[in-house]
Amino acid sequence: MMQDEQIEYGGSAAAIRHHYDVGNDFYSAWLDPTMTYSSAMWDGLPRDAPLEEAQQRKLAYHAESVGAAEGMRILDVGCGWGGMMRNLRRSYGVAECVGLTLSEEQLAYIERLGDPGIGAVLSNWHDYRPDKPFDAIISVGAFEHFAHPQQSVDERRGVYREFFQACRDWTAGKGRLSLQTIAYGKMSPEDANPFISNEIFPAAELPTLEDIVVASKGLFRIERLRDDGLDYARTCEMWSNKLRGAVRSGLVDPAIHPVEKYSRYLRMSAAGFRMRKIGLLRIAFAAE
Amino acid sequence: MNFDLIRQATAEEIEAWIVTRIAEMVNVAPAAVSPDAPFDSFGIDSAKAISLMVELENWLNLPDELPLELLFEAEAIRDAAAGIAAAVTDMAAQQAQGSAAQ
Repeated sequence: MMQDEQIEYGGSAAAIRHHYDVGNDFYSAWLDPTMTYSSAMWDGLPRDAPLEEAQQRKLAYHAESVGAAEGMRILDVGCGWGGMMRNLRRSYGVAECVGLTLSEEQLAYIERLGDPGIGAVLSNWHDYRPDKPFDAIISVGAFEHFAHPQQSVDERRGVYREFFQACRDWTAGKGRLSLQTIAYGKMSPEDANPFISNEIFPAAELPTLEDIVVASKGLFRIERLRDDGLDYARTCEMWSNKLRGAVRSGLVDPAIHPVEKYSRYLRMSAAGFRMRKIGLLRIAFAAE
Repeated sequence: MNFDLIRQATAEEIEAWIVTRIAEMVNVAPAAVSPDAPFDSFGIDSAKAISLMVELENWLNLPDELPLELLFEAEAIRDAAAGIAAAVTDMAAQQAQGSAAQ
């Protein structure tokens, strides 16, 4: 389906829209109220803490990883529906947030928030040129889309290195970067499930931890690294249960929305994390 | 929506169901699937594992999904079956409470 298209840098826009433009209503039926579409974090919370609380914990974790503070200017690469930026403004007094997205629905949603300190730009990171430097960068759940399955390992690492170089440039060589991405664990790229690779996330390839270490070497120092795959397993299971509840209560109509496809995808992802085939990396970087 | 009654299967029945299904999936005789082995020792991929869970939920007539950790985190299929049986009992109690409230 996608193979005739040119490889696009910074994530294929068509592929991103394929996944995210299913409709805000559909996602809002099974995501938490902050519309956070990435793994929550239970570290430091009770095991049975609800999803919304664990999503807040995740937002705080990344904010603290980059030392978010009053007056700062922070870039969010792959800003989704703006939950991270809203939290940075509200809880940390960050002066200005800019979010990059490739989804027009997400852009429109963020513009409707009406916060003058939050801006969204419809651009991939590769083409983005900020007019002034940022103090820090956060990127959650975007790195998964940067590389293409048809690229060789060296080509993929080349793209990742360009991203780390861009992050270094955008923070004038002295900023911090907090990255959250799914990565291959025990599974190798050849074993990827065709349903996930073709139907759900076409034209995307996951990184390995080695890719990230090699690509960031000399540009950023890894200050802290966690693999929280079980957090993502739990998040996917909670989403899947919520989606089922939304169908039961009539909020989501399986005749209109791809319920079965998403339900299968969410549970398969959860199984992948539980089997450690894939992991969830949270990495705090400091420029060096 | 039609709320069928939950099948309150015992841990032994659930264990037998899982063993049979694994045997079909990996194409061996059920006797070759030891209930003392962990689920992830049979080389079943995540897609097949989810199919198994969905089929099990359908067989049990469950209104909600079973937590995957019951299958994946258990040290043996036998323990997984016991955990699932307990979860089914909880769901059945909730169902009974729900219909009594109506």
